[in-house]
Amino acid sequence: MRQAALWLALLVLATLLPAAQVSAEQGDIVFTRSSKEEGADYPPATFPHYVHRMQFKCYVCHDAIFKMKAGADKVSMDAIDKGKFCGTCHNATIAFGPTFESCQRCHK
Amino acid sequence: MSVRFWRVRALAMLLALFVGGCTAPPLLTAVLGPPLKPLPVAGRLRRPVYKPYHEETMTYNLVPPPKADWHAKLKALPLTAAGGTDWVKALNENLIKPKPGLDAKAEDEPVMDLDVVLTPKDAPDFKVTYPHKPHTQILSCDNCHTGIFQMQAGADPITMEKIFAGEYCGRCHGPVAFDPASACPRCHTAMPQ
Repeated sequence: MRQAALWLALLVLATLLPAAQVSAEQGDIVFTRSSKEEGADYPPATFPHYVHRMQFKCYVCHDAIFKMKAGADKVSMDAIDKGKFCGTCHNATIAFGPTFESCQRCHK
Repeated sequence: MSVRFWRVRALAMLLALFVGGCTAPPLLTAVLGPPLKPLPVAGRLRRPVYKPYHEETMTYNLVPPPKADWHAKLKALPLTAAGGTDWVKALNENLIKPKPGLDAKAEDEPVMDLDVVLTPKDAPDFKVTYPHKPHTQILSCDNCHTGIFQMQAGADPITMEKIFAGEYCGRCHGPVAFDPASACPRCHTAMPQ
């Protein structure tokens, strides 16, 4: 009886083990951070490809804005602020802009 | 506690770990509630805080536009036999209407209906039929030519190893388009479907 209770406790413990919940879709690109400055431990930006390909054809971004190879472009927040890369559209006019209210829409 | 049953106990322990590990995510949510969102990191301000959309009313600042549930829209799209999203079908059935440009007056690039047949010299059964049509519906010519492919059939030494390594077709097929490992007969059209 005591053993059964032990196993039950073990099962409950194993159930509560932290499990990685991955909900990535095909084509998602994670921009690993290269910045060494303060706040660099903030989560990296994930680009959801599917959201964009449902709205735009490939040649809207490729190859004029982004090269067709992950990591080929050095995307930085400063470049986005200057209207390059994501900032071509994400400027609060065409799509949501890079503000402190919208960090977690990419950095999640 | 006899020594005889240590094997049984070890097995049961492994089984408990396995079952627990497999059932953890749904049960976790049921027991602990939805996962916590990461707190914003209080760091040095490295960018202007806000660029108001409407200078006078500041409405954009106060009321952000409603977020579209893109993930639900993705899940509503048709699937291929391998389980991935069938983007060609979604486009042809007008389930998605990708715009050809940022400008409202932007026009679609021309669609080219040309099948290129590539037959390996020693293995005619592995003949590949490449359809230009579904590709040119979303891509322009200079996306592939001549950075990825020469404009001459058979001019590139394409192998499956290179495709799996992300060259040639593998530049898109695998990362963003259907995985070549999941659907051989979609390209090797002489193979049984």
